[in-house]
Amino acid sequence: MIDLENVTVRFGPAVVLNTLSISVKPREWVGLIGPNGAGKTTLLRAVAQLETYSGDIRVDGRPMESLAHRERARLVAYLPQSPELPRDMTIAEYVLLGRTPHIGYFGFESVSDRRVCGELLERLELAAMSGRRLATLSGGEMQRVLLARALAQEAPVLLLDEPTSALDLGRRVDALDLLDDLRKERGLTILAALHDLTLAAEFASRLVLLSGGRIATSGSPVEVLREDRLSTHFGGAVRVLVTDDGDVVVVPRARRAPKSAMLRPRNARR
Amino acid sequence: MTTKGPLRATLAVATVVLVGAMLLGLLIGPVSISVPDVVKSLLAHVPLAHYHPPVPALEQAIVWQIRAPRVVLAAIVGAMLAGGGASYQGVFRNPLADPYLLGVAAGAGLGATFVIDAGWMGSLVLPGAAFAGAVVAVAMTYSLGAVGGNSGRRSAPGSSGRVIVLAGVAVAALLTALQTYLQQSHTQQIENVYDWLLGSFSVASWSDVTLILPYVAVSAVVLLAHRRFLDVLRVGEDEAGALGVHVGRTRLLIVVAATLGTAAAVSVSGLIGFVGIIVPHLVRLLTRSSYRVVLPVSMIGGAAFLVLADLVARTVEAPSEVPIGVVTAFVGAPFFLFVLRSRRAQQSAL
Repeated sequence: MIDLENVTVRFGPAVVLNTLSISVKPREWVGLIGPNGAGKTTLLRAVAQLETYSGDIRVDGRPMESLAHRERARLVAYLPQSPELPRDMTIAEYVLLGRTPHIGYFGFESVSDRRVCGELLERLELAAMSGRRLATLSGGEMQRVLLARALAQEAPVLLLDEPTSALDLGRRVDALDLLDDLRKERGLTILAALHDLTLAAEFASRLVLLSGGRIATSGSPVEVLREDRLSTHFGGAVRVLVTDDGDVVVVPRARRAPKSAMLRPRNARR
Repeated sequence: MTTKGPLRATLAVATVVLVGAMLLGLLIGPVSISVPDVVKSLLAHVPLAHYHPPVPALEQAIVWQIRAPRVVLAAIVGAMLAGGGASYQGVFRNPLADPYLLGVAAGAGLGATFVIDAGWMGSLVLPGAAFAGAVVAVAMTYSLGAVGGNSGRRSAPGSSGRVIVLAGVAVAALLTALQTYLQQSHTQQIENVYDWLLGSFSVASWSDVTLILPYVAVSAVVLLAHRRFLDVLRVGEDEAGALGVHVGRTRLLIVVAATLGTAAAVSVSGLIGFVGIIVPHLVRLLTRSSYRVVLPVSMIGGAAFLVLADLVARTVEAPSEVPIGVVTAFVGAPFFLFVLRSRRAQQSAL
């Protein structure tokens, strides 16, 4: 569904993505992981045609670069990490912006555009608050609104940059659960940069570990999330635990002193 | 889900205010003419009606040849400046943008000063030179700014907007310097130049109206057709791009439309400040900030505002006139501050 071939992005002299090739199959959920500066955001922005690149990027077999802007936006919906939010826009108005690629140049929203948004607001449990201003929303509500706007594009591919970074633990799981349900319902293909490795392992069917603008490794969460690899690329000690259910848990380890050593003096005082 | 209901109500209120302002403009003047006589004098010019009012010819002439073109011209210029200002604020995502942002005022001022100093003050030469100066100035700004914005990452459409604004500041400074030099080296014309710069409708005629109407009408239609785009742009240029908008191309189209209309407006009115920035913000404070509301209501509100400002300009010190730019700032600024404060107080009380 998404095919990158030898994609290179340069910011001046710096090579941010280096001859990178990835294929994401239809309906697949691929998690992009990697340290800060690995190129995750740049990769997503390149697919969304927001960066200049060399190489070839195709979505649904069509070369993105040669498509008209509106056609691209009907194929790919992109949610940046910190979107700009017009504070006094209502939820309904904001979600309706997602219909932009379906509206002609001088046109305005049609009844069917409003119906699509109305259904999404229902599905994401936002209908009752659709008149509220964006400034008044909590992080969890905002996340659903952003998702609604992206889904309003009715694009088969969703590019998400750290979709849960602003949420507390419970809301992160809620948001990713919802995303997974929507992926199954609507047959979406998802490419998402994820910060939380444990959640990435939980939700993505495949992980791609980026480091220094290249793919360090890719595969199932168990294959990719290995202590040695993560330590090398993230530059810090981690422990990877696998639960009885087969879930992968990644725990950071403090470099100064092992936990057991820190606990000992306290026990000694008793 | 829609803004249609409140939009219609707001448009209706604004239109009533505009009609009221225009009637006041027709009624008030050094010669007192009764309301029925004013109305009859206007009716005489309804096409195909063949109505011959029992009103003295002099009064008819005062209404139709002196007051009416002045009121209509002020309305057109006010609508254009406010609509242009709102569009620039939207397209450059800059609340301080006004229609003069990219050098329209400086270019028009230079063009006007040049022909006044040269002594070519024909009825078409002066507006033509001002118009040409304004258009050339914006073309300079845009080509310089766009070159600066295109180097480096394509991803930085946001910064290319900023580069254009900065180029506008530089071009305006350059042209203003040239204009000041010209002005100071032809001191015998300084009063004429100054009069033009401060703006006035004192010599307004129907030919001025027909001169600028085509430009302003086309500009207004293009800008209004883009009000949804201006709302999309509120999420940022990158995201607007990801939503399928060709930001650079659309911005250019809006700038061209706003520039042609504004250049035409100032070519007959001179440089009237404050309208383009104060009216859209007033509309935002009083209604809301969706451009579907701000743009059309600003146009109507700007028309009403400038008609009233012109009324004040020609009556407070009659028979002499106060420059209209002085009035727009002197009346507009306190009113704006009053609304700003009361709105802020209301919001913090919530």
